[in-house]
Amino acid sequence: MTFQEAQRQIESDSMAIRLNVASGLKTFMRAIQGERAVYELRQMLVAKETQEHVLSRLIELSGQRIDRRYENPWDTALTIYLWLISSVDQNLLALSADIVAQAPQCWWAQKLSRQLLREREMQVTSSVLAHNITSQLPAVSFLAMPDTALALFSLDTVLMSTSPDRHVQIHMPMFSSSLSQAESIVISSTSPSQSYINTAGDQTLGKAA
Amino acid sequence: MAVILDPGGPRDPNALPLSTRRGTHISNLPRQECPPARLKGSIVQYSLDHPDAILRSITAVYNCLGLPFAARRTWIEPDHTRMILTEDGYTKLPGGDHAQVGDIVVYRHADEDAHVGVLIRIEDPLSMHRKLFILSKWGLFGEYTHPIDEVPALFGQPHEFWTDRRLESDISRSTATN
Repeated sequence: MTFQEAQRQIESDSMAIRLNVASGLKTFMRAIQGERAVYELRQMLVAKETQEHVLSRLIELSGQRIDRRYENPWDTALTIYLWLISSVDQNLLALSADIVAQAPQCWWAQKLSRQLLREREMQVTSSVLAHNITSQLPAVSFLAMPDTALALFSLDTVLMSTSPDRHVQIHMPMFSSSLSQAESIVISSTSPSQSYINTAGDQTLGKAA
Repeated sequence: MAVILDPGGPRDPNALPLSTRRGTHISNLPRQECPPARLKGSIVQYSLDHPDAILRSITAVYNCLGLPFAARRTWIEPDHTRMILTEDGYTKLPGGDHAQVGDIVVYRHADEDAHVGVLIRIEDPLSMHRKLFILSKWGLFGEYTHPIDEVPALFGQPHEFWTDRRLESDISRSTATN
């Protein structure tokens, strides 16, 4: 199977019809991985050139104009391309997920993009925490649990973007052992900085006034 | 770019206010309608693949869980199946032989809850080989009545039966405790 054949199948109505009987993301992703065209394309992705083809197709489809009355017809193809890229190149993951997240009226592609960004967020946050917090703080226990940081952030409905250059500073009281005791969290990136202060002494972090 | 971290959650303005009998919010989002050509394509495809399944209705807005648990108004991920059944007071039946019209069948694939349907008809109820017919929503596409095993392979196999029936003995017990 050539790249063009795999692409044609992945973007076909018949593929979308076969896969979209799934009700949940897990089932959908399992179904994707059982598709021959997806398998073949994944084998081709060892070549950098093919990765670039897939990425450029993902960018192209994400920017397509759609009929706003309906779900994005490229949703299935975008989900597949995003998964393929994320499975072979972690450096392209955040970029691809960000691009797909901006494609209008997607369902699975939005869910997968959100999941990938969240996973990356946990990795980035964990690594930054490890970098910023000194050994004076007995914080090692929560560094081993990236979920802790995620739980902390998820209490706000709308939050920040994910980008590789995100910088997170967490101000902790001396001898604290849990993120829930954080006094403040400052997230800075290319976008304006956002601050979160711990107003309730627990995990209820509100936006700084 | 802003990201909603809890899509479908109680703070998501696009989610419907939906909860279990115990009051736990059920994460949900109504799905955007599917392009008509694709809906029509699915009717053709599934009539070929599953000739014994009869289309009742077709829209993308709700899924298999949205049918029994949200009155066809929204899409609920199958990950929530057990929470809903438990908090809505359903009881797991020993098997399909004990199921009655109105009970819920849960399909599993690779240890995941992949699909649910509602039992709507039993043929030959007194025989050893009674036939069960299900009403269920097939993902983005149609709502079908179908023999219990006549489903897309992604759904897996009928695995469990659950009921919300309250029998006379339950009423007596409830009255006694009150």
